[in-house]
Amino acid sequence: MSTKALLPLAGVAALVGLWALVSQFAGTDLPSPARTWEVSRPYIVEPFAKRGELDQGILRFTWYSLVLVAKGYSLALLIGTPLGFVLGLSTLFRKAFDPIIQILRPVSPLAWLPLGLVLFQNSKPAALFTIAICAMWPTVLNTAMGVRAIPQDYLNVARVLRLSPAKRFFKVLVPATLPYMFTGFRLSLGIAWLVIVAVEMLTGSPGVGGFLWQEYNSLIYEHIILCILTIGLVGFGLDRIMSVIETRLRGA
Amino acid sequence: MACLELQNVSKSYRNGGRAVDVLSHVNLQVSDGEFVAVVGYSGAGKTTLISLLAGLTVPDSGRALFEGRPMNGPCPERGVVFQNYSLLPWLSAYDNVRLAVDQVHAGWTLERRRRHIEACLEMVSLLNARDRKPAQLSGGMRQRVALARALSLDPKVLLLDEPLSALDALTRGSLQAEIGRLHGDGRKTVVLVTNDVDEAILLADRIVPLSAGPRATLGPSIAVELERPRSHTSLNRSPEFKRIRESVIDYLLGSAGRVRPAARVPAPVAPTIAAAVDLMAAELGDA
Repeated sequence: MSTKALLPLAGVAALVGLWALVSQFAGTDLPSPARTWEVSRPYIVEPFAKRGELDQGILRFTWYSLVLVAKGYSLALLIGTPLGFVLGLSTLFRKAFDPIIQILRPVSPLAWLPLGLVLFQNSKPAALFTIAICAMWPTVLNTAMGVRAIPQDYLNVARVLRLSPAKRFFKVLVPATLPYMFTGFRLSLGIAWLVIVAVEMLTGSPGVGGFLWQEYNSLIYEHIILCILTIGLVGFGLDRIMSVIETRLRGA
Repeated sequence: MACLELQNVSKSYRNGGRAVDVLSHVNLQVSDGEFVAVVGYSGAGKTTLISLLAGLTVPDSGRALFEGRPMNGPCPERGVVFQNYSLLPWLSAYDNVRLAVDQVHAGWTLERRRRHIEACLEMVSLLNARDRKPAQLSGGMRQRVALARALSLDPKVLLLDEPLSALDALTRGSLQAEIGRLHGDGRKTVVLVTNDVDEAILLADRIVPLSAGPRATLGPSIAVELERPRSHTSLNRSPEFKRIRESVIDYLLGSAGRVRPAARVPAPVAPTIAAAVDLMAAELGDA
């Protein structure tokens, strides 16, 4: 095997070793790797099992989370992309709203969720609201940046041909902005996946984040680690998929 | 009536709060079927001049006329080939031309449009590269696609903004021949802006020197009454060619406050390279 494949494996081994070492110290409740595997096994071996509302296979929980993320993320793109275009096209609009965006952007999902609950009186739409409002900023900002970065030459071509505003938009502006938009989409998906865990914990909805919080309360710490690893792997997978699409678009 | 006309046109740009007068009191008349070359230094305002003729830029003072009427923005009747190709990178060569054809010849049948697009690509010998994206084409090929796109509009006037300046000498030569042929075939009105005096003499009926900026203006026209078709080889032997070239270069150097060394005429590429060296020297001096 080449060093290229060996080195990451060595990294994983080192981390697991450290984990095993720390778990040996008396006074920590951190379960050892072996124990974690043992306790998590039924959840991994039967990933889609449903033994009860709070006792389901890990991929089944992941699926619930993914469905919620997909909804919130779609909402973020549906709002974020047009907003990005308006910001990119209109200097007036940008000057008016850029400061507000810069202030709202760094607000934590934990802060938005209660506001969502106040607004919608129900945890489901509040969760979607929180995912959408946290995840949309990279899409908004990257789309706006992409629109502003369109070379004047492309716009001159549209002017010489006297393209109608609609044609100008769909034949020149959108394709020219697409690579930037997709960078935004990828970053937004990353955030949406981050937010989902916090949202599930707070609303107690079923999913990886909800499961994690519930197992913490039930003192089954092994499952916390299982959830962390699952969240990480899924997040990594999502990012890879998006980056493959992004590279395709840039290459075109 | 002139086909294209600039009457006492001036244009300045704001550059960080400071106004830069690019063109000052420019007068130009281009007749139907005429090939006019505007020759000037890099950065003298050549692109601004083409933008004014295309209608992409509006003069600060003076008037820009097309067929006797003031221009109302750019229009497909004045096809432009921009300096940096300006092809849309996500469209194939065929689709780049098609965007123009679909827009300008919207009334034609699909079949007629397809044949027209193919004919335009054929004209610049690119039919076999029709499905390639601009990134997969060489600089010369890209510029030929841009030329095909401009021609596909069936424009009355072709405006060429240093279309060959980014190309290597060989490609440039073959495209020069191509442009000369296109003009000869269609008797199209052409305005070519360039920093290459030889290229101007090779192609144009008339050369108009653009003085060094800022506040550049057009000098007296110099008629090129050399037999067509012209080639670099035949030109090099012609005393008339040398006379024209000297008078253009003398005007340009004079406008920049310099005098041509009496003994020798600069080498053919000198105007281009000299301009680049001057520009670099100026930048180093600033820094």
